[in-house]
Parts: sequence; C-alpha cells; structure tokens
Amino acid sequence: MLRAPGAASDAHPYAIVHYLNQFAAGIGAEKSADLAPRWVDGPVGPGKLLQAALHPAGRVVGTIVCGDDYVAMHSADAIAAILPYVREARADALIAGPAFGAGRYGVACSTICEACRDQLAIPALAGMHRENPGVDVARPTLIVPTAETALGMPDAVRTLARLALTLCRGEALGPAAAEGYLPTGIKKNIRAPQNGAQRATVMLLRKIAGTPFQTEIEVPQVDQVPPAPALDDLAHATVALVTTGGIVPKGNPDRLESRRASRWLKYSIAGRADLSPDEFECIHGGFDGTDTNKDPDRVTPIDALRVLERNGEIGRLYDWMYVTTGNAAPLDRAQKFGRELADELRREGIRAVIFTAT
Amino acid sequence: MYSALHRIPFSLGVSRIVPCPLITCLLGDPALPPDEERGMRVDLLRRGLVALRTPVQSPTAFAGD
Repeated sequence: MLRAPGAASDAHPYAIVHYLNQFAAGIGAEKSADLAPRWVDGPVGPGKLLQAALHPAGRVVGTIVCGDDYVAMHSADAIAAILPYVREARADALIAGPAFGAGRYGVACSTICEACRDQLAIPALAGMHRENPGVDVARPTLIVPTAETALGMPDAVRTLARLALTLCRGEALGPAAAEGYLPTGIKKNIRAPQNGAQRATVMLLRKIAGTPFQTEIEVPQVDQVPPAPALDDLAHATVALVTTGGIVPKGNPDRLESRRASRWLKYSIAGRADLSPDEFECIHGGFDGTDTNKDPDRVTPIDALRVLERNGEIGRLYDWMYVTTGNAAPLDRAQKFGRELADELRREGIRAVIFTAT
Repeated sequence: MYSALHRIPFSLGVSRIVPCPLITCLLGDPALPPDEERGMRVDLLRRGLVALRTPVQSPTAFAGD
C-alpha cells in the first residue's frame, strides 16, 4: 500500500487521523474527562462529516479519543500514547476537533497538533472558536476559526478538510484571511503589484471613507500587563481572594451564570473560618464540581488563608471575596471585569490577590 | 494565579502562576484525609506568597520543590 508522498488517488486516498475528546466521541461528559487515549478504526461522530468532506481525495483512517482533563494533567503521557497511533496509521495529516468554544478541548487540540508537527513532522490543524484559550497555547498551530457551538460544524469541517488536503498535497497555504485560518504569526514575502506607499494610501482613503480595509500588520489584541513589583511586607498586607470558579451562596441567589458570566459579584467572608458546603456551592459550568461542592475551600481556600493570617504570614484576609465564572468569557468582557476589580481592590487598599482560576 | 491549566495563563502573560494538580479539585485532593488536604492547601498558598515576594519580568511558574 506504499505510495509516493504527495500523491493520492481514489484507490489510495490520503490518510487522515482525527482527534476527538470524550464528549465529541460520544463516550461521556465530565465523568469521562480523565479518559486515557484510545484508538478507534475509521471515523467517529463528527468524523463522519469530515470523511464526507474529504472524499474522495482523503479518508479518516482512524480516530484518537482522549479525555480533556487527561491531556491537561498528563500532557507528556498523552502525547507519548497518541503519537505512536498517528505514526502507525501512516497519517498524512491530523485534524483535531473542532472544539468550538470548549476551552479544555481547545487546549488539548492545540497540544496534540503541536506534538504532531514538532515530533512527527506531520501537518496538523485544529478547529475552534477564535476566543478559545487553545488558540494561543501552541503557536504557530494552524487553527480554523469556528462558531462558538456545534451549530457551526458543517462550515468548520469543510474548511478543515480543504486545508488538510492542501497540506497533504504538499502545497503552500495562501494568506490566512483568504484560506480561512487564524493568522499564525508567520510572515511570508509576496510580490505586490503596488508599492507600500501606494497600498497605505489606499488603506487610509478607505479608512477615512469608513469602508472596510485589510491591514497588512495585525496588532495583537491581548493586553500586555507589566508584572506588579514584588512585595516585601506581606505580613502587613491585606490580601483579597478573587476567583473565576463560580463559588456562590447555596441556591445561587444572584443568579450568576454558569458560563459567559455577565458580571462579577462579591460575598462577605468576614468572620468565616472556612466555606461550608451547606452554605456555598460551585455553579461553574466548565468542569465537574462534585469535589468542590463537598468542600468549597478547594476553590476558595478560606480555611488555609486563615492559617496564614493566624501565623502572621499575611497581614489580613480582606472581608469580601470576588466571584465570577471564567469559562467562555468573551475577551472584552473579561478585560472590563479585570479593570473594575483592579479599581475596587486598589481603592480598598488591597496589596495582593490570591486568584484561583478553574 | 492558581490554575490547573497553566499553559493558558502562560500564553496570556499572567506574571505569577502557581500550577495546581487537579482541574476538578483545584486546591485540594479528595484522596487525602482532610487534615493532610488542608496542609497541602496551605503549602500551595505559601507558594503564592513566595511568588508575591519574588520580582518577575515575564510569566513565571512557582511549582515548588
């Protein structure tokens, strides 16, 4: 069945390996998030759509299924188990996801793509929403932007299949905007019909006229926050607790959203030695909260902070804890929360923050 | 920042990061007896205090020994 690289026919289509998480593969939800990698022959779930989109030039020879938490917690083991599957399948390319807005799934997809690219030199690409945290963890991984939910599956699969086949053929991809992937940060020289001054003038005139134009240099949108100076007097500092872990009074009286939170809240912890599971609960929708609900101190560690306070290792624990849910947070909203929280904490004379991010 | 997915705060440029062992039990471990679990939590927080006392220029993990 050997064939020359870069050549495929209907009889010998390109071999694509597909990567899915436990949920997309239909094996289970949060309870199965620590599932170790396994191989399944042929396409599974969304892989069947992918197969149809690849036909006849490529086919899904097999699917690797792995739990999101397993990849996050045991990255080296996951990669060590997954790469041999890809190698033995003689894969021409690996497609991961699409993960849409699912953060842990997105991070897993990028992690696996990076390993395939760097360790096996096999082209790999993933699909996910442009604000998925997986977009930034393993640059320059090739990522196809998708809708936030699986409603965007048909479009995502079509683009993933087209780009994967281009890579299988050994052809170069065109610019990100034209091909439908997110900019990777890799710059290529091209010969333009007009010189730079002419192109800039056209852009400026379009900008003045309020018509769309395409910049040639994208400015990164993530804030660069300079690190705060080190503190040498923690024993006299008031320390506040902030969490994106969705710990709220039992019954969630303020109706904090379990994802895409519209606001942050603050709850009094004055005089509390710890957070009792009878009075507080975790409403975060992005991970299995069973263990946290048994003891909310596992996300908002009031009990341990009281130990440090008693020992004089910190001056005082601030009387309020600040809470929101961080999963699926749009970047602009998260930046707004950050500014508001920083303003309030500074006003209240807080010197340091313990920030628990689930 | 305490995170079990510490590649994310790194990629976002968070300056002081304490990696946590479990996504579903961020500052704890259900396998430990309650006293030991609280001790582990105090240790993790002490790592945070070390981080706050340490000058950093770029994202830095404080993973302990």
